[in-house]
Amino acid sequence: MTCKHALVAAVAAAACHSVVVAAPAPAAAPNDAQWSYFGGSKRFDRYSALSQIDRSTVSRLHTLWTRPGLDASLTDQFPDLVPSNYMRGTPIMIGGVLYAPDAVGLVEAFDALTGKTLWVQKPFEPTLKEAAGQSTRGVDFWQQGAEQRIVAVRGEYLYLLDAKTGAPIAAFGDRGRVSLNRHTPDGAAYFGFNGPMVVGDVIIVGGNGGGKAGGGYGDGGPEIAARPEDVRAFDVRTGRQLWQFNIIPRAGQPGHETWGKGSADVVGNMAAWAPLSADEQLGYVYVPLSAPTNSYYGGHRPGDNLYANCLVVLNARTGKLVWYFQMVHHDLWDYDNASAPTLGDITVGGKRIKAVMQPNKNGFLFVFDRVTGKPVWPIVEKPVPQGILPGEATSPTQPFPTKPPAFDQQGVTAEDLMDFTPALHQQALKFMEHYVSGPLFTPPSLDDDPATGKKGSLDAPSAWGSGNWNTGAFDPETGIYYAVSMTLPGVYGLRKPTGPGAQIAYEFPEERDAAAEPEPVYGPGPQGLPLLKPPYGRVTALDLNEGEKLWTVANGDGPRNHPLLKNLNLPPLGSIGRPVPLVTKTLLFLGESSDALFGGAGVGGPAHFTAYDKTNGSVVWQTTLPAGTTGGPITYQVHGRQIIVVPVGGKDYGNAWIAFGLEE
Amino acid sequence: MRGTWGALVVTAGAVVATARGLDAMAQSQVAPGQVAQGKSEFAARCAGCHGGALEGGSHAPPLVGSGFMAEWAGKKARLVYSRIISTMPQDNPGTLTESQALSITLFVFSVNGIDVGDQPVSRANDLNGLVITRPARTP
Repeated sequence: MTCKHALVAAVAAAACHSVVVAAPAPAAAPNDAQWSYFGGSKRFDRYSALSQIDRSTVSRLHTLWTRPGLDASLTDQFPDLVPSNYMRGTPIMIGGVLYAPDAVGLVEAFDALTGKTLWVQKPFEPTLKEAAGQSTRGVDFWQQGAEQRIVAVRGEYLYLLDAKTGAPIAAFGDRGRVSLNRHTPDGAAYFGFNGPMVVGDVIIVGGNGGGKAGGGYGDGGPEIAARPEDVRAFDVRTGRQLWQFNIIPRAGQPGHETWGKGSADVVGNMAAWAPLSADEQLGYVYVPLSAPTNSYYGGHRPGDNLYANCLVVLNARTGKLVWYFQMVHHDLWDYDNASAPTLGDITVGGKRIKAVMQPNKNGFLFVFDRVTGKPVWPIVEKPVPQGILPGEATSPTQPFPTKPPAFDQQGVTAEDLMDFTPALHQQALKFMEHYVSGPLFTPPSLDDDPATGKKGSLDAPSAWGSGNWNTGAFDPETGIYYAVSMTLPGVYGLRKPTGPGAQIAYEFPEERDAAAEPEPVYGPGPQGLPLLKPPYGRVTALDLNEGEKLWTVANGDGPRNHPLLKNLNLPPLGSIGRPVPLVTKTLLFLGESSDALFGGAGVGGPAHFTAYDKTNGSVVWQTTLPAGTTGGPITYQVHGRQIIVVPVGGKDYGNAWIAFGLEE
Repeated sequence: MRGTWGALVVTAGAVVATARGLDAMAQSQVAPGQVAQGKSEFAARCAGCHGGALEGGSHAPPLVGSGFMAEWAGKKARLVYSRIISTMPQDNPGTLTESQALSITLFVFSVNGIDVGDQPVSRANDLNGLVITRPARTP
């Protein structure tokens, strides 16, 4: 049935383009609270002031409903639709309705109280080809008068849907969608999981990378040529492109000179792949940027390489640069700004500051006045270890915030090695001898150096980070930033490329012996044990009124039951993973992420979901989810009831959103 | 097995996929045409993320070895095909034809020594009755 001539009426449009199952829930009650962006709000603070679920009531939480990550209408229509278990979709809740990208990235609307389907976005054509897809992290909501819209990115397209029915808005782009494809030297399609951000009437979009290298993530490989995933903005009504911000400056633009050997005109594989944030009053969008091509060797790109590894702040209406800061110069470690830039207000030295807090994979939290870009506490350029590989041009210094302290382990020295027993500590010391090691920013070296016999540089954090997209939550009542991170060292050992057509002098070898055991969960270390001291998964509370660390606690058991450690009766050592925090009036909720995440970062099978006392990190309550988390827990209140919803997924479980609440 | 001590772990009895082994399995009597086609499709469309020897990469799991078999043993063979055609490649899902997804599935099975029986497998539906079983130990 062709829908080109469908009536504008919601029912007819709905019949064409979505499956509408039930009427939305009745009007909201007083004290109901929304979850207006998938990071809590556009400040991306993952915070709610709700207090119905608190220390005294949390133990009464029970499962209200479990909703599969793919609506039955889709699996009925497309029996071959078997999604990945990495279900990224963190819902938003507005007006009694939850909106989330499902396990194949189609938007589903479901009742916030009951979890029942309200509508499901239909594939653009009724084919498996259009139904196929990957989940994304979240959608945005736009409203003007009676018009309510859902804005979503799926595959190569930006969609505008009617929030009441899921029908695409015909006037937007091509029948409701705009292609985000651009020409790249390797013909890569656009894709981006980080979710669009609407500021005023402007949709801002990042993306995952600028080419096929590293599976589209631009994390390495011997090709130079790629196209950076420039930040773009589109009109929310028509889909017309409004502006583009060049994340690698073009000739004549400021910053072009920070790319030597003409590399600015060639390299790419850079993007804003982490979620954005926005200050709607200022009209600014905060954009975290990643590492440049390739992330581990930069002989072809001498210089600081702006705006790689920067936080750039743009006027959302015009795309003009307001201010920027570069967290890592001439990156060789893939130390992306992998997290959303969280916005919040703090009081420092008696002065109220509108702040932005940007964690980096390297373990630092950078805090700025979000209006002017002035660092709240001095950030000092310090000398760092210099380059080892031929042709490399390491930055002589790197930025070190003086406050707050780093939220996770930086560097690898003998003092950092695990010491569960003297014998294990000796094993760790011997293990370390095979590698170059040292403080933060020890540069990559050869993976098999004939001169030294070393097998590369052992660094902490690794390219997975300590911090990542999951890291931050901020409590505006107290000024405390909760940094969730993992302690996972890695080996930066490079070799000359062996494949044809290689254009970069050194690459990160991806091949492993297929016969070997799977990649060790805790990174390089003796006998599959972690190399460094615990905790391996942690929460760190940083007081951003003072710039001080308050406490750190382990999240999850970690390897305490490893055969070599079991008899030591160790406390929770922290699980490797990327779980997302949720901070409320009294509690901090945090799960354990699923091993369905990239790199197997998490637990397989049932996983803990914990409520911590947000003031001191003590465990108040804990339950077991059937699988680890794959997105962020959220909370909201409808009809006077506070509900928590968490996305989970796992190889043996599948995927679902699970809702918790108190008894009626 | 990642992160879960005490879970069932597949031991070294699983087939080891050496480079020579890949070629040997590609000569399988069953569906040799599709396996050979799958090998070249895999190299063109999948190896960039999953590795030339199916060993995995930062953003893609291994498709061979104990982890792969632990996830798929006992499940219906059709599910692997379905997962591939509905989610892969990750940066552009929905771009594989039935023939491409099927040949890639058969290639992955052959690398893992998964027996697909002696009936022809030329359409996805031909996988419907098959359950993935672990290969017999090689001498």
